[in-house]
Amino acid sequence: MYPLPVGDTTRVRYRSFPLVTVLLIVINVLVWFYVNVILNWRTTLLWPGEPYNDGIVARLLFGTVPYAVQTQQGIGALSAITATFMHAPGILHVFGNMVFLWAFGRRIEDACGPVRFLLFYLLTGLIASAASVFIRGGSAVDRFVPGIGASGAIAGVMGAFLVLFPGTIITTVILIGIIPIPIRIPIPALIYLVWWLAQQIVPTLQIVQGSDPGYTTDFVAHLAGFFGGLLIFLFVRKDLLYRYLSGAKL
Amino acid sequence: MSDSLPPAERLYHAGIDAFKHGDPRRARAAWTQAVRLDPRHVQAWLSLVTVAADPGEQLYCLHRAGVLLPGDQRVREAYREIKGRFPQAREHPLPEVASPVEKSRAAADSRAAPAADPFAPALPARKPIRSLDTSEALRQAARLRKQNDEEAALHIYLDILREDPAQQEATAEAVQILSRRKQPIEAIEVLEGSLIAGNRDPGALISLAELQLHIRSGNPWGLLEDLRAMPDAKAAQLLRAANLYWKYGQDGAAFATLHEAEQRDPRHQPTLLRLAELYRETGQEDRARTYFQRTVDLGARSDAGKTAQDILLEEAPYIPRFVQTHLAYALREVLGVAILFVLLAALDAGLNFARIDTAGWIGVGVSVLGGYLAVTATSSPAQGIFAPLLREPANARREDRPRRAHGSAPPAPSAPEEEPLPMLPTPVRVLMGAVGGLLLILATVLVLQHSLASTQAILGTVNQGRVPDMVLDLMDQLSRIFGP
Repeated sequence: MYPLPVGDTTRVRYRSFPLVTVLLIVINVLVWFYVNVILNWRTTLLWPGEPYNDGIVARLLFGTVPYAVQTQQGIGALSAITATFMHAPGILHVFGNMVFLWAFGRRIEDACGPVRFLLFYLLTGLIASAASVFIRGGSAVDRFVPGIGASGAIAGVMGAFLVLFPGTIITTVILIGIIPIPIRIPIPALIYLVWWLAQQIVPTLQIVQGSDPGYTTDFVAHLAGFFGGLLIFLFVRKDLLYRYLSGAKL
Repeated sequence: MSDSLPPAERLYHAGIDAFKHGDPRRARAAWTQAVRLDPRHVQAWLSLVTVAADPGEQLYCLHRAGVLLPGDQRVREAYREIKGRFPQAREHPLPEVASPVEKSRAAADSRAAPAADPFAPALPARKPIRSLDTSEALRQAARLRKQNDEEAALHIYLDILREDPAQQEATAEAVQILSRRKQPIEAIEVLEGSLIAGNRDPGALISLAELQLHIRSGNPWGLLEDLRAMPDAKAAQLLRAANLYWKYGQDGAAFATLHEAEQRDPRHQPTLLRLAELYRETGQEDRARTYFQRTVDLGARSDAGKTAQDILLEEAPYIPRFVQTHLAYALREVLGVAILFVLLAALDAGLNFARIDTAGWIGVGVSVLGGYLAVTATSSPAQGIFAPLLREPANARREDRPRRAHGSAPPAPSAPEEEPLPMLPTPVRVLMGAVGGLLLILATVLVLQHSLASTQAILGTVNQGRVPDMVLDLMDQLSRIFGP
């Protein structure tokens, strides 16, 4: 059972259309579809004898592989950006990330404006990737495994949400397995995000100490991205920052 | 007689009818009722002269009419004539209309000058019933009020007013107590007595207008007009008048009075705040915002400033002037861009800051410059550094506008204008934005030089239908770790 955030009950101040949030979701879904469906089918259906699956090649090429970044191979630093648009073949990975992005991204985009929100999103994605490369680069196994997914950048958005709007009420639906129960449950953002953060800490420590049981989730990127969300103050609108500094309601 | 007439007017006409039918007793009863309801009903006061019981009552009624018609010679002459015929007569109110204050005065008079001399000369001969001087009495009354003994305090204030009906502080305090005790008629009597005696406090005029509006009698709008004509009326007093106008639906007069108050004291924050609130209530958001902002600009620590700031902060977008012009607010956005490029440069150097080469650092520097130009062109065009040098030429200065001649009619509420924020002209912003964008592209190329070169090579390999060596190498490594 897992509470999946789908939105919040508070009004958005600027009422601007969340253009970048929507674009990011569209791009992520399209990329996922292309890499994991089209490229995969192309290999398996058209060239069954092909030794290399194009989907896997794409993930190795455009995912953040610590070994490749550290040795300046492949697309190097660019992979830290491209990896945030890549997801695993299973649809739940991209679906879960996009739901979180939709739930938390709109308000942060509203607080920043579209251009600054995009820069912030890319920056937290870079921070998450850099932290992942830094930690996993020291592992004999993980350094060859590509890191993919938007979760690091989205964790940054969630961190920013916690800093800016802790009093907001998050609307969640309960997932039992993969089946959503159509009952909306309101949870304060502070409680939800601190609970989410707490779930990342122990696995991250295990990964840092090299005692992890072989997680397939990049908890280091999550945690780094989340704390990277503190940089939101460099990107929010001036009036919102002024309101924040003067203690007024955001 | 129309039912639409005010009650006092109906009573006045009823008195006329009774008088015409030879019933002066009923006429007197009607007219006294009329002046009780509307103490400013001149015709009723004049009519009462004809049915007064004695010259003292006649003098009293003429006095009240004379106050309401200060320039009327006939009233003065009638007063002088009665005074000449009955030199010992002295004013005293009609028992039916005498307020407790007046009754109190009358009682005191009777104590001071008992039956032997019922028509003793007025004020000069009165003996003071208190032994304290005025300032000491005021202090004593204030102490009593602090002890919640308002009754005793009121007696002292009334006592002071017996000797000096124009005493401003005693008037204000007595009116306050009487109003709180829900005795508006008595409060009105005190105020009228004070004003008749020469109290020139504009606050007394407003209080009287407030009370008259409260009991729906008299001519409160005339009083407020008098107030607006007083050159010594302060902005705070005009603000009270404007609030009365607004409360009773006279929006135009409310705005005009507020603008008069603003003109008399442009730094009176409550006036500016009220203007802002009224503009907002009437849907004139831009004007409202300007006045809210002016209120805040005069200081956000006062109650009015804080209220205005809170309201502005609730609205979006509101950016105070100092935030718009402050360099730090622009530089923090540049810092965000710089961090992004430093991180890119580090990743390009294998996540090793020490390996970032000269081109990489130059790229970071170029990104700072490009970011600053882009930020200045877009979100911070009013920074203190550039804006005073490159301000828009079309800005008319506030002092250049024609001012209203002193004493002329109040201006209709017009769009409040404030000093325009110095801002970079649009062509300069476009140029800065373009240059900034180009510099950011250049910075990207510089900080990602290795990655871009490597990507170019890989794309060439992919275009040839081959799997890049790096991928093959990775697959090999992974096969060794996890198996084929």
